Amino acid sequence: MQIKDTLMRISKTCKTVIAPSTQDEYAKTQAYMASVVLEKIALQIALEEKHDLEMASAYQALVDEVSLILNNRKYSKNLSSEIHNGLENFSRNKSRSGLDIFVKQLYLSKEALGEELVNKIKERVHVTMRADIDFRMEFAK
Amino acid sequence: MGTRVTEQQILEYLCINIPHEKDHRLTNIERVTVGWSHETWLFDLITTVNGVERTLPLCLRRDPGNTLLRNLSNLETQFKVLQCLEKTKLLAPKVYWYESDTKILGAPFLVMEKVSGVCPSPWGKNGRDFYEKASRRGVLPVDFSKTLAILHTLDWKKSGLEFLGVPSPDRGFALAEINKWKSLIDVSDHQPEPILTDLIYWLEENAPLSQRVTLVHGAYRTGNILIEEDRISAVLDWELQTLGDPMYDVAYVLSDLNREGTNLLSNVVDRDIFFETYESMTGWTIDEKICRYYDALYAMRSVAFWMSASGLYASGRSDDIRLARTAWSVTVVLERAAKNLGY
Repeated sequence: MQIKDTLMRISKTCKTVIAPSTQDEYAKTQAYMASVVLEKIALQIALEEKHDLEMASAYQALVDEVSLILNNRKYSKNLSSEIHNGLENFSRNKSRSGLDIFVKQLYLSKEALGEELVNKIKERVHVTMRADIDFRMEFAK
Repeated sequence: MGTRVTEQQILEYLCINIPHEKDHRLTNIERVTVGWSHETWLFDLITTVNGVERTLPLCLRRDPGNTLLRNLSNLETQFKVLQCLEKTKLLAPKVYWYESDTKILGAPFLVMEKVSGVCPSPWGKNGRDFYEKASRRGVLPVDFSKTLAILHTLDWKKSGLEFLGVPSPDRGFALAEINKWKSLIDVSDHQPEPILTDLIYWLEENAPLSQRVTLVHGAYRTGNILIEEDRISAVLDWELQTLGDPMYDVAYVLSDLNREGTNLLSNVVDRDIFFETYESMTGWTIDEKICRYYDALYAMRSVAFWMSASGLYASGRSDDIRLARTAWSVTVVLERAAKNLGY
C-alpha cells in the first residue's frame, strides 16, 4: 500500500468512525479536522514528485531567460555585479527559498537597475511564481 | 496546552471581588469553542444582596499565551480600550476586572459584561440565512453602517485612546501595519514565500497617504458584532484595534474576504446602502483606490495569521488541529494575492 493510500484510509477512519462516535464537541471537531489535514498531506505527497520535477525545469527556464534579459546590450552596460551574483546564487539553489532571495535582491537593486529592467525581470519571475502556486493549489483548495 | 480553569476557581475570584454580596454561584456556564484567540467563558453570577437575588451576566476571557496573534494581542490593552469606549456612544461590553497575576487562573484574564444578543457565524449556512433575512428587513444593514461611522468619528483623544500610539503622518499608518504583520511572520518560522516577499515590497512601495487618523477596529464584520432585534448591541473582538486610516476598516467591509455566496457586503449590507449611510454620517468620501490597497494589505495580514497559526501547531505550542489546517490557507491567500498583483 502506498503511503498516500494509508493516509487516505486513516483520514476516512477519522471522519466516519472516530468523529461520529466522539461525544465531546471539541474532540469531535478535532477528529474531523484531523481527517481534513491527513487528506491534504496524502494529496500533497502524491503530487510532490511531479511538482518537484516540473518546478525544477521551470526554475531552470527562469534562470536561462533572465540571463538572456541581463545579457541584452540595452541593459548590460549599466549592470552591477550584484544582480548577476543574485542570479548565479539562484541557479545554484533552484528552489522556492532561492527564488525568494532573488526577489529580495531584485527589489534592493531597483535603483541601480532601473524600473524598466526590474519590471521586465519581475514579469518573468511572476510566470514562475504563478506556476508554483497553481501546483500547490491542487492540494491546498 | 496550558492549565485548565475550573468553575470553582472563577467563583472564588468573583467572591473576593464582590465581597459585599452573598451566596455567590455560577449558572449557564458556556465555554465558547469558536474563534482562534483567547479562551472565553460565558456565565451568570447569582448573588444575594439584602435578601434579594441578583444576576450579573459575565464573560471571562483568558490569554493562554498561544493565540494566533501571539504577542500582538494583549488582554490588558483590550481592557483599557473597552474602558475608554465606555465614555463614547459606541456600544461595547463594559469591563470589570483585568488580572495579570497568573497565580489566579494560570494566565492573564479579564472579566466583562455578557451583553445580550446573538452573533451568528457568517461562514455557515445558518449564519448566512440569518444575515440575508436581516438584510431584507433593512434595519441591521443601516445599523451596521452607522456603527462603523460612530466608531470612526468618536473623539479618540478625549476618550483616552491615544495610548494605542498615533501613527506618523503621511504613509506612517500603512507602513506601521506592514511592519506589525512582518513581525508576526518573522516569529512564525515558516518557509520563505517569494509571492509574499513580492507582495510586501509592493505594499511598501505603494503605501497610501492617510487623510485622517481615527480609531480603527481592524476586523469590523459580521461575526464580530452582537445583534439584538436587528440592531447592534455591542461591537466585539477588540484585538486588532489601532489608531489610523478609517479606510482600513472600510476596505475590510468591502472585501471579498468577508462575504460568501452573496453580493451583500459582510453578508449583510447592500453596497449602495453602506456607501450612502457611511458617507452621509461621516461626511467623508470612501476612497476605493485606497481600499483596494488595504485589501492587498489584508492578504498579507491573512498570510501572517495562517503562518502564525500553523507554526503554533508545528512547534507544539498548541494542540488545536484547526491550526495545522491553516498551513494550506497560506497557499490559498497567496494565490489570491498574486492574482490581485496581476499574475
